Amino acid sequence: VILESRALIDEAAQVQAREQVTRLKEDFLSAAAHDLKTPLTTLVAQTELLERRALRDPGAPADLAGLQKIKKEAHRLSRLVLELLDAARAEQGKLVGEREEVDLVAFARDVCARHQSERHRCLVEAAGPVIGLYDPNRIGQLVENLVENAVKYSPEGGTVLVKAWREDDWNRLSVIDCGIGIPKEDLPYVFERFHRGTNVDDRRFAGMGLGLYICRGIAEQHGGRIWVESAAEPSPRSRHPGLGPAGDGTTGSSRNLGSIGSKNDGGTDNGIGGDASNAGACIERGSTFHVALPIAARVAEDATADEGQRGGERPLEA
Amino acid sequence: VSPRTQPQTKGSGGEKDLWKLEGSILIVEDDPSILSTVADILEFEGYRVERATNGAEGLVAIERSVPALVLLDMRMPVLDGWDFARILKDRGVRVPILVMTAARDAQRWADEIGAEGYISKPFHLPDLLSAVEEVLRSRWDG
Repeated sequence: VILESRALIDEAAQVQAREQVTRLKEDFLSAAAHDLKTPLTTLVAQTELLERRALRDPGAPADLAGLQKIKKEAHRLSRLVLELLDAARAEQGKLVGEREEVDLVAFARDVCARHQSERHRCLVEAAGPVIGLYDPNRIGQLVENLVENAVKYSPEGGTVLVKAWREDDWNRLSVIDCGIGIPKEDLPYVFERFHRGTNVDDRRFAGMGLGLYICRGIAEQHGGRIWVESAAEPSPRSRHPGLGPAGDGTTGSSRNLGSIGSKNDGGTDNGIGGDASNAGACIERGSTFHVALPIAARVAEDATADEGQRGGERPLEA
Repeated sequence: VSPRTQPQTKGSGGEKDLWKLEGSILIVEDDPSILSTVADILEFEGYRVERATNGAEGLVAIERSVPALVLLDMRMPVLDGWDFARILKDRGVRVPILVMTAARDAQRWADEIGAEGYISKPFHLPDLLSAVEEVLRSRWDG
């Protein structure tokens, strides 16, 4: 009887797991279709508008703004398709290409400048260049995804702070926001493929649930780590990459966002958007994503080791 | 043929479409490219257009002046389409709504908020215009 019960329990667990996978896939397909349709809407409608204008007035000058809109949305569509492909590459451990010297601060400034708006301030805090040997395209994508995420999940607006600094053998980057935060139950799954937060209302936030999964792939395939803290979930283990949890790369930690604007490693370089010390604080809300990447020498060693480890081995485990 | 039953479009050399002048069309859409493209299309066709990038901005626009029609995206930051429609109802503001969405639940969502109908993204320009025209002409005829 005990064995039969055990078998039934196992079977029920398997059915539940299969249902979960099916639900995730359905959610993903729905989100992917929605995201792809958004640029397509402008592409189709704008093209038909240009056609209609040209038919009514063949002599009219070209509508440059309309053409530029089409170009922009075509690129946007292209990026979405690439994101889908990147998710597959992340799964195969083939995200990272040729490495060169990269300054994390320069990337952070560039990304922040693009995400500045009336509603969102984006500040960079760094004492100076933070240089490592990385795939520049992928590091740009990593910073872009994290800042874009911070902005997206701060719908009421506010400040996004990007900190970059060197700590022992690691280059560190943190992206801090005062947005909707991450519930405790989601923390272990934040970097899972297709996962979307339980506090993320699909009606307000479209998304495929791939961005953070790709971020994890980029960090880990550089020999580094990525993890997240939520304002409501204290944990003392997040101060050093080696102290983070080994299993899923996530943690909860009390995060006094009063630290927005505090100096790091003896200096502050507010590259974009003014004085970070006036950025304000958000203690009860928001989330902080941390990235730790090995400095160049370590990467060079890992690069050789990586060749034999492609396919899911994680070179840096606590 | 009366313009009320056979509307002509701007630029086609036809009669003035009086029903188009009855009021403006408020577009509530958080994607800036879709917002500006839909606005361009409607303005090109002779409609007056108001723009809002979320439900909260839409409510502010309606406080200024109640439009003849609202084209409403549903998934938006700050205030989504459901809350926008609910607040309008609570305030007793009666305005026809066409839902614009890329979701497969378009029909259900339109029913949920009591909209006149829906336009699925991506849409073809004639489909958008005929949906808008149908609502506005029935309002004019009514």
